[in-house]
Amino acid sequence: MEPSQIQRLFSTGQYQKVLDHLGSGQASSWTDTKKLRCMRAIEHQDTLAFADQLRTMIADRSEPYAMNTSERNNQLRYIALVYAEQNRAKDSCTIMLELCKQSPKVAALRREYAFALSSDSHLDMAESELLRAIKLEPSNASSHAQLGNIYCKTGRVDAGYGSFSRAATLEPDKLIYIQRLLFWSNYLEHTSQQSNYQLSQLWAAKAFPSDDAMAHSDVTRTVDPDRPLKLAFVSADFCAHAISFFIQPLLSGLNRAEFKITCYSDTKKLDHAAEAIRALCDVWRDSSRITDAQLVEHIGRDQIDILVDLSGHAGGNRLGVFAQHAAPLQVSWLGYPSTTGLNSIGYRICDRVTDPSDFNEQFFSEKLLRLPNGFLCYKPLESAPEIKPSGDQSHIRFGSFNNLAKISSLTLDCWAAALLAVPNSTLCIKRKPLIHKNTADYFIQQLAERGISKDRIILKTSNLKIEEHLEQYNHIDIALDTTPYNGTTTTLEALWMGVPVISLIGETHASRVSASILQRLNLGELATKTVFEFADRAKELAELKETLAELRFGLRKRMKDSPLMNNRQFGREFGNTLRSQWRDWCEQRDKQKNDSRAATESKLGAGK
Amino acid sequence: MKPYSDTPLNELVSKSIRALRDSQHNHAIEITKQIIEQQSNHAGAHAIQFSSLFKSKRFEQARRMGGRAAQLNPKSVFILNNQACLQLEAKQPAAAAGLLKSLIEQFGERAQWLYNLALAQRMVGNFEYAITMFGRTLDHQPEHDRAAFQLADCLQTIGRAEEAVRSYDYVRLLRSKHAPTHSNYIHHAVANNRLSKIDLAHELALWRERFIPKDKRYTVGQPSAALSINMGFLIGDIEHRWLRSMVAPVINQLANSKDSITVYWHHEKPPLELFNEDVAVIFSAAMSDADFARQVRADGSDVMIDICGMRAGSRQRALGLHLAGRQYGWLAHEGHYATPLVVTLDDKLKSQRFFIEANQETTQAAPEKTLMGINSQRGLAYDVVKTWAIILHQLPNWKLHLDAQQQHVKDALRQRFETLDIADERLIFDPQVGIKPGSIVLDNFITNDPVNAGHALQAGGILVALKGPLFPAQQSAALLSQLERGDWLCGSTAEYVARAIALADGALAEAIAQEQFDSSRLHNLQTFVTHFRNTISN
Repeated sequence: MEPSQIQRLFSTGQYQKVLDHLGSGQASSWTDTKKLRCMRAIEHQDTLAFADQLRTMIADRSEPYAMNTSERNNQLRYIALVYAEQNRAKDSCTIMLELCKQSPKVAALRREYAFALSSDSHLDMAESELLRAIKLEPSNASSHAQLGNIYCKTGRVDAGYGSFSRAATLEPDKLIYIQRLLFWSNYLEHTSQQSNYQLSQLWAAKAFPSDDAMAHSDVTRTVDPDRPLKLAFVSADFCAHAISFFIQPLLSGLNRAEFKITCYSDTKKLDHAAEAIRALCDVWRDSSRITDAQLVEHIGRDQIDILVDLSGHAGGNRLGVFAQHAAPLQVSWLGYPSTTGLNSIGYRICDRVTDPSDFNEQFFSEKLLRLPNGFLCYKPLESAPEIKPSGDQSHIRFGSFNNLAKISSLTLDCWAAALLAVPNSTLCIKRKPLIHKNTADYFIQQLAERGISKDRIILKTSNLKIEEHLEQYNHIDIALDTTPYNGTTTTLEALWMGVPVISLIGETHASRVSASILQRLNLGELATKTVFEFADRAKELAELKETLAELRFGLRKRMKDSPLMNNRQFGREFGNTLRSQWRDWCEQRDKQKNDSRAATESKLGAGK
Repeated sequence: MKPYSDTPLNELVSKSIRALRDSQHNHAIEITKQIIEQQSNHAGAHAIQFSSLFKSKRFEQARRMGGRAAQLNPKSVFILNNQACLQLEAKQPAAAAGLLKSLIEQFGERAQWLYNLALAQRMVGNFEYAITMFGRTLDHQPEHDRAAFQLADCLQTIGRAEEAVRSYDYVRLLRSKHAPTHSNYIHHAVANNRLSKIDLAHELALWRERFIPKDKRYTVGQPSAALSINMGFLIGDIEHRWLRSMVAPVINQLANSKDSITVYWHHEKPPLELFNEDVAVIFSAAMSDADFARQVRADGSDVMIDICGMRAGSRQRALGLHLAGRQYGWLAHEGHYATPLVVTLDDKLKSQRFFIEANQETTQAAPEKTLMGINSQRGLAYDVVKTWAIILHQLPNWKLHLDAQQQHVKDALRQRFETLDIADERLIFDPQVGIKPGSIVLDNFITNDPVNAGHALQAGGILVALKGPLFPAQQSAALLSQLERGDWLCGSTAEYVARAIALADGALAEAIAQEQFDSSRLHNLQTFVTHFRNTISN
């Protein structure tokens, strides 16, 4: 086959065909590079080995064909990319650094070097490289998006949002950028529900112009309101991820005579958490290597009645499957705190605290289904360490182990107000990216701006085992929540370790999750309404050391006795809610059937 | 004999429909006239003629026949909507709103009707309703860029600044290749501190790359060394008090000398009584960037001074073509330009950066224990509201006077303070109340206003100010520096709060004395203009 024909196949994404044809041709730099790119694109199992082979040839100058510098460098770029993706980031960095030295003014090389550095957790250096790339080529969307990723990961979501916005205006048809805007807008305090909804509608209109709430009339299932139902969950996080703490209690709480469970797992990881979830399912399907269309087919073949999305606009989502209306009833739950914007997802599960009845329901494309005793049920880590008495009584130790992206400017206001209200108190922020100087400096500077000196801030960066991570709560007296994106797992972990959490309630679901959790433990007063109230509550708790001690040793039991950990009750409420929607669907189906029968009969009658 | 006189009626109707569909409006009108001659109450012909008149912008004629068309076609949504548009055109928003509401009631919501209804509400100043309706329009049609723009503009007008910036950002997702849309976003984002310095640099670099033509046809040489300079001033959408107190006096004074001065005026409304007769005013609002460039080139400007930046009326594309030998940005910009061909003048003016005409207005002295918050006319950024609320919390017996005058801005401010536990009765909005000697003046530290700050200092106020990272937040610092009161500047918001509280608790601070104003030459037009001219000509 001619190179131009191969190129055509390649540019239309027919990588396997390209590989088939390349196999029979004569070896050259061009064919080897193309082969590596195709193997990378289809995630071929031998990609890394092939990259190693090419690299050795280049190093030994033993390639069986002539190769000029430009061809060699081009091949090295792709080898570096493979390394960056396959846990060989250091090797990738070595190659890219060398290439950047040779051609310091090539923006693409800077960008790829930044990717290698990010994969090797050198986020500060990656940031600098991206800034260089943008200076060299301001209108490359990918550079802005990569920079946005780093900003968001390291807690500078405002700046990250700006970077994604520039990427989106540069490539308006690349919808992933709009999805990133949507995702990160949940972390920003200046996002209104209206603007978030608007953006979700824009994304839906562009991504799925024919997304229609009524399209499910094509899906055929036995119309019987009381039959056992096939309930399926789709997620890329069925592994050691926060999702596992919530999906397990639900699966064990659901009445299995009523619901047959399928999990479509979109992750290649198969760890102990995945095994535990798998053990609770009737059917487990690995969907990580199939396309949306193939997954829709599977779901159809499996005759799923109710399909639950656990990702929303988070990375690795399968909204494309939901947009095709793979199941008669489609529901959004847990993994994403806002509307998906898709009309084909009919429902969203929440509760009366996270989404009160006077909530702006017009800003959801889904109908809100409020569970009576909270929208989630928690299963703590079985190996969580014992709670120890608070050792140091000389000063109050505040702490937050939340995702840095959640530490908004408003969060910092709350924390600073609490620290100012409690003299001599300290604040421990613990998260891996704080290892990066830019990140640590940013938080120190932000708190200094608010009058908090550096010596009151303890930044912990170590990436410990989860048990060791939880052990750190034994050195914290009061946990401070983030807003407008509250902690969920983090809030529950703090409480499980006997540490009360002070939160600030906002107007979005994300900013009301901690309030929902606290209310179920009769600790609703810890969910405050203003920054000033937040500080007052911190002061009150700090002054009542006995209450703190009482909570420390009483919270675990309180949680066990609460609806937060009552699998059966939660499973029943979740199941009843779905059943009720299923009945509505059956009723609608019957009505449609009767209407169409009546119409046919009247036509026939008229014919006579 | 008239054309079509023998053609059957139904054929004429088909032809008129076709003409309308092909945008041959005159043709459609001609045909429908003949139909109506034959059958005076032909509903379809009236509808088509009305639509054709409307679409060809013959609004007066359309208005005349609209009633009859609607009477004959009571169920035509098209006619009803166009009638509403005509009412909007005739600046009769209430009538338009009535028609649109009835249309929506009868036939349900449609994006275009909601949009027109929102426009009508905006015209009558019902901003909250307009915002809801623009939002509904976008629910139906998320890519309705005009609705998105109007929504952003309404939010900005009523002082919901952060939401407005987010909305302007949304507009540019829809109009990604439209330079003014990006300028608009940049201007509002900078004015509300929503961009870091690095972000701003990225935005401007992108703007340059995308929108500044590489065409050098208009490039002119360096200014002549002649005694008189041909000077152009490009004035965009800037605050009127800046024009009155800082810009116009300087321009008029320059025009009194040997220099030739041309003002390129962005507004359609003439700048009455601002400039004297020696100043040539050119209305440039309707000009394209290329026409504008041609005009300036024809005028032979040696120096062009831009007082616009990225605001409405921005000409950065034209400035990127090198219109004049030297190009400067002054006062109303974002601190940097997309084109390196414009140099900011402000820093070059060094220690004598501002001339501000002395305030002649008299006001009643503020009551005791009143903090004077300045620059809230267009609302306040959340960070400012939050900081002022912290101060009020710590001073429970004090009140805060705000200089916002428009009702919707006042309402938005009340609401924002209320969410931070500051009750309405602690806010004073009284335009008669002014700053007295010793008043504690809280500066809007996100968007400074040198005129307001200058007048506050002139009245003897003690300014509590903070220097921000972006240009709009650095004016008060420069003003205090000119008055040799740099020591009044706070280094952080915590310091800002502490200083306000210390002053309220009786910490001593002397108002700036008259001699200091004299030596700073803040109010001395002649010296400022000499300095200004020397700076631009050197």
